[in-house]
Amino acid sequence: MRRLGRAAFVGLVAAGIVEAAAPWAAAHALLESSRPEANETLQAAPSQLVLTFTEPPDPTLSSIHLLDSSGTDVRLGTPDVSGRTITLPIASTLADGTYTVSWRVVSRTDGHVTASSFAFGVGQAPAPTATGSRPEPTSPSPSALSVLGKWLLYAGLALLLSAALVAASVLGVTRPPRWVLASAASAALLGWVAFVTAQRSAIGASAMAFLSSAAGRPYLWIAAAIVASVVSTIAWLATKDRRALWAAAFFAAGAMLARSIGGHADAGSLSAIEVTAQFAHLLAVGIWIGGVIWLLLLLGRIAPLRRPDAVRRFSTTAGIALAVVAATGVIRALDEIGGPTHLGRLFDTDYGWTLVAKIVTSLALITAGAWNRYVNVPRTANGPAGERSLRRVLTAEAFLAAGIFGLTGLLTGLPPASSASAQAAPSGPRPLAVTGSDFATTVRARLEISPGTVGPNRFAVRVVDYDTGEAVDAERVSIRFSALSNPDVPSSTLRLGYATGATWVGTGSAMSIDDRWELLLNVETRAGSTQVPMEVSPRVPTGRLEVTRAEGQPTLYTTTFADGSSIQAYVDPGGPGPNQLHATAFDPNGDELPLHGISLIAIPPDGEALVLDAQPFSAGHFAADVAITPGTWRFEIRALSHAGGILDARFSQAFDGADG
Amino acid sequence: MTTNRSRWRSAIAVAALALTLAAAACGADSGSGGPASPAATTRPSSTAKLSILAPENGSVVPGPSVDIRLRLEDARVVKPTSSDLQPDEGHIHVLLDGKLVSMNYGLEDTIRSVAPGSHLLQVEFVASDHAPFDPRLVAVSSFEVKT
Repeated sequence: MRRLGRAAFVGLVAAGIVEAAAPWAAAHALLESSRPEANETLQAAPSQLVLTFTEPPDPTLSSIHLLDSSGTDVRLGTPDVSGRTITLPIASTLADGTYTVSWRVVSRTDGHVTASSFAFGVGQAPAPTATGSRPEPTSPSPSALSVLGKWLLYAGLALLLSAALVAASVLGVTRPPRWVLASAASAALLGWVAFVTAQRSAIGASAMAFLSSAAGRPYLWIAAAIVASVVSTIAWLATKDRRALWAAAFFAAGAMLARSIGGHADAGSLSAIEVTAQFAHLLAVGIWIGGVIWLLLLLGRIAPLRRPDAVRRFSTTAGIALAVVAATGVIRALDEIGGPTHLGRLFDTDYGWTLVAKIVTSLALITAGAWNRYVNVPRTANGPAGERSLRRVLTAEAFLAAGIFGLTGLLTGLPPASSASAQAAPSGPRPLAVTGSDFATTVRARLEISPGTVGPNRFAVRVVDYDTGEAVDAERVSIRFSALSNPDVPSSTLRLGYATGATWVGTGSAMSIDDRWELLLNVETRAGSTQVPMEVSPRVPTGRLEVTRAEGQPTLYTTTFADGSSIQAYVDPGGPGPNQLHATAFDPNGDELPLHGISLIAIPPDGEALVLDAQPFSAGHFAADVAITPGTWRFEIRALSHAGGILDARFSQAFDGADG
Repeated sequence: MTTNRSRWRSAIAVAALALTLAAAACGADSGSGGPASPAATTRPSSTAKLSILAPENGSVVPGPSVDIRLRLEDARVVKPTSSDLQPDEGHIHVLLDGKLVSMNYGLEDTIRSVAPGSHLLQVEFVASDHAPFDPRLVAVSSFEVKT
């Protein structure tokens, strides 16, 4: 009972510091920031695209496209790659419209591929895409070949390493079974081939192109170390020279070091510490788990009188290795999830859940090892009965170890929790920003309007001295709003409150209609008052677009707005030739929403927008004839409800001979 | 004997490792990484039958106004537009020569100012939200207008 309690105690203590991760490189280059930003509305066309990723991208295997609203590529200049940032000059001046940045990047850290896209607008708010305004990055899930390859690689290297360090040195079996070593060497080599094949397949490049790229070069070093280990194994098989066995172990360790250097551990600012921890982790796992396999296979070969000592020596060795695995695993795990304050990410991401599964399996393995150490090892001195129990638990450990290798193979194919979690938190719409100065150039102001749409907004203005940039010592700051195209709409004034530094803030619904507004900033100081004129066009609230396709049916585009109202539109029959554009408005209850007016605009692939003749067929249903030509058309529906609300729905549809 | 048992244990260990490997590989293969497809909301179907009583297919009718009479079985035409779809309620869309001329809330209508010559009349019984049923319920009639 005491032994059981001690074994359980060891298991529980180990759970607290258990090997939480052996992230043998789990890198994904996710988009960290961009200029322009997703969903940004620019008043002037940008001259370049700047994309910064969480991992350095491999420029030879990555691609970035800028598409206009018709899906045509906009010519980009030669990319400049600096660390994690790619800068691409835009060769031409962009006209007003919606543009999509489509990127597909291979991480230079270890070759994983991610892809996504985002839109921005020039002179207008970007139209929502069919997948919504928050595109999520996609990355191929770890394929079966990838997991199989890593499993074979890890298992092979562990057995090659521990053949000399455990089988020969600890257990005293200087001639381990040849078939095991041959299998281990073959597994390591085959695993590398399978893993590289899976990687280059996911990237879509040839093996030569992948291995000659910055992302693939580390794999060549791993291959060199594996080949050297295989050659040493062959030499041992032929000569039984112990030096060849030790050489095989040495080069297996070399492959582990190459894997550590070329992986995610090397990507951060503390790379020296992380790479060292990673390498120590791999060595300790190889000794511990590889040693378990060797003990299971070789126990019968050890002379009965020497078995208890051999088992005790291995138990001590495994205990030390386990402590190293646990300590280095915690270091690596905290790095992958972003620090101890982000433990919640264990349950927020695929990476986290896989890690939890690996922790649970490791806990079971540690408990089994503890049972062997404190219960079965002492029993081996009592003869065959004790040995049988030891072998049973060793077999269980072998099963669990194999499961850990499989989970590690899966883990290293997933985005680390720190970057996946950051990507999963979508940002809200970017505020409208406008700047100005007074006529005498004594004051500069930058006004940010959130969310920047018609209706209620938060206004934050930073008022500084024009020359020095220092905060102006203002006593009062206010904004006067005037609708430039609607003089009947009375002007209004919003007084702002002092926030901090040079910033004054206020909230209000002054921009109540879709119009171009003049904002006159009035800054009062002890010396007098200064006006800063600015103009802004608020965005019209756009909704969430859902696209419904079914065989034999026109494609339905349903835009749902924040208040629950919606517009359902479709083009029928949906092929080149005479068509009808239908648009129906619904209130939040699903009943017809009567409209005060509607405009239906169709923009053909080759340019000029067509204002369609919208015929009312009921209070909330309008339709118009439109002659469709092959290509991608854009449709804009702007409806005005009787309550004064503006509903703005947009979608694109491709029409060709097979579509509709 | 000892050697045979050792080999058996070795074989069992390797087989166990292989089985676990297969399980891990299968687990990794579940869940695709492909992009999500658009929503596949199914349009309702209807057992209604729609036919054109006038103008009959192939007939010659005097213009310029053309009277249309339809028959709708197992369903009824309703006036309200709603997203609450019923298989036996909807509207009638009328197209003449590919152009939408009316959305009827009854089964009779008159199309005015139809030019002399051949014309194609298409009528469709659509759901209450003005989008088609699945399969679509369409009737057509080809006729000639003589002044």
